Amino acid sequence: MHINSKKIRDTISFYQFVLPALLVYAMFFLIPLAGGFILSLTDWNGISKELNFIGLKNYLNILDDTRFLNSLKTTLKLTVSFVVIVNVLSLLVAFLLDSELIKSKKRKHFYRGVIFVPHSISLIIVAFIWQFTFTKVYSNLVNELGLGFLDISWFGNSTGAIAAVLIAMIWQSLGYYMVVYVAGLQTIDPNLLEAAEIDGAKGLKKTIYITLPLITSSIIVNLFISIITGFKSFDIVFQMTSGGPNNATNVVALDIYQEAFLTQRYGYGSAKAIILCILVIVLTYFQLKFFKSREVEM
Amino acid sequence: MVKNRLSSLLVEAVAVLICLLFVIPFVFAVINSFKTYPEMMESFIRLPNRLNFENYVKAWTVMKGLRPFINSIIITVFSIIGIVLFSSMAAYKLSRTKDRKSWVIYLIFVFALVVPFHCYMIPLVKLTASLKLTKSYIGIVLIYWGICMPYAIFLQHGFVKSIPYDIEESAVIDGCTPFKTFFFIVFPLMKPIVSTLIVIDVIMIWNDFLLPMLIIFMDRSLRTVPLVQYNLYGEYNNEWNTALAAMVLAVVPCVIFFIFMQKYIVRGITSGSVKG
Repeated sequence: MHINSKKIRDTISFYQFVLPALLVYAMFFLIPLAGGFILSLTDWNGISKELNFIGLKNYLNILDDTRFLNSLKTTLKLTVSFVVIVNVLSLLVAFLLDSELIKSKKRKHFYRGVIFVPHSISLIIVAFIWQFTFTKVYSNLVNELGLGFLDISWFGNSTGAIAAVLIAMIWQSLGYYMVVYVAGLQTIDPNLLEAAEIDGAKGLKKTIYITLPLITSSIIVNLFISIITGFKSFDIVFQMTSGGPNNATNVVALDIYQEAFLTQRYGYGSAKAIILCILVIVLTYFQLKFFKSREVEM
Repeated sequence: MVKNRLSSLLVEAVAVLICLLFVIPFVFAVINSFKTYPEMMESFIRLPNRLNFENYVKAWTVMKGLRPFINSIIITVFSIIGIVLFSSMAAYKLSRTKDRKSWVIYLIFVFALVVPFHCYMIPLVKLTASLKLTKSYIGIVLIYWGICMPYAIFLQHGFVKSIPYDIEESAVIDGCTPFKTFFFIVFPLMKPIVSTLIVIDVIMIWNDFLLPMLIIFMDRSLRTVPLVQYNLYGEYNNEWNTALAAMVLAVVPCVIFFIFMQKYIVRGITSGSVKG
């Protein structure tokens, strides 16, 4: 039958195209993920030949794990601060650098380029460069300028350490969010803005009630990515503070890493990782839901 | 008129100020990388007496010269080849096929976008070790194929929809096999999205730290640039001048790459964020 053989040929072709990607993906993501679920139900130490299933015991232990619970708090603190600051700053910079008041397009691109450069460097390097800046340069600078009272021990206390990590994170990623906002700003039809001005909307009012709603999709994307980035942060903390001082910057990802690879409690670590996974998925779901309802249709 | 000119000047002054702020860490890093140890200990913020390249020579030797760069290049290049090849094929077919299995498989891929690496890194490490894939480039390249697939497919899936179907139709009528149709007709049309995908993934894979740390850190000869940097910072904890020289060496290729690929990077970031 002519139709049937076409269907079969199409299906074969479908799988020929899709299977390679699906196979590597299954092998190195789906299977490990499933493995993660399974491990979270054991007390594996990474070495022994057999898996000892202990059911949901790991999850119950998590409820008493103060270091983990604190890491959740720290991650939340870090993420909220990061998301708010980086989005506000990058939006302001986007407004600034997209402004018609800067006449030369070349210069505009140059400024944006400079701000974006840190995004192309490894986070380990970013962390290190700021480690250096905070410990050595800052001290020197402040003392030589006679502002000795501003000398802080960035890594000696919890607030300083979190601030240091935040600054490094923001420096590294501001350019990225700025690019998204600039793109969003550039899609706004200038006629709309003109019409709004004619109707009486000026300056700040125009920005809040006209411009911002028009770049909602950019805001959504940036919020989405910055929230997930905040939750997943690891590299910078790993290099800069190793979670210190005194677990002040111990984020969830770091706690999981330590639990699994330092304490060698792979089963327990996996359970924590699954909790993180669930948190991120739930967060994503609510974000999508919340913002889907607020999009301005053009 | 004058008010406009003043505002322009002000705005640009602020822009320049912000750029200066951004550049400060680099400035001090470079300054100190040219100092001798005593010079540096005297002051971290003054300019060096002369351009001292000793630190760079030392850093180069400690890093084992070109080795980490070669490792990073090999891993990045082979990863990208696999990712682009398989993801473009899959994204194309998934986008063109509009039945339930296609939609389900697409969701299975996209699902990974919300799963943090930490959730599956433990079993992944053990799996790779048991498959004996940790002693060579193969293991980590395969892993990158697997875990970079979702984003690559996500990016290209939408793009394929914008390619008109008539061209493929006429190719099929002319007797082209599905593979020929894809590789000779559709794929060349996907150049914009593929080039941005390549640039994004190059940056991500080149700068990746945790995965290589878990898989190939043990083998010194396989270490990528970020791993070598991490190790070096630990070893040269107080010899900031040497460590910073090493850092500059590592940063230079990244900055050069960025300068040349700026257009694609910007396009890649904005492609998913702007409607219409």
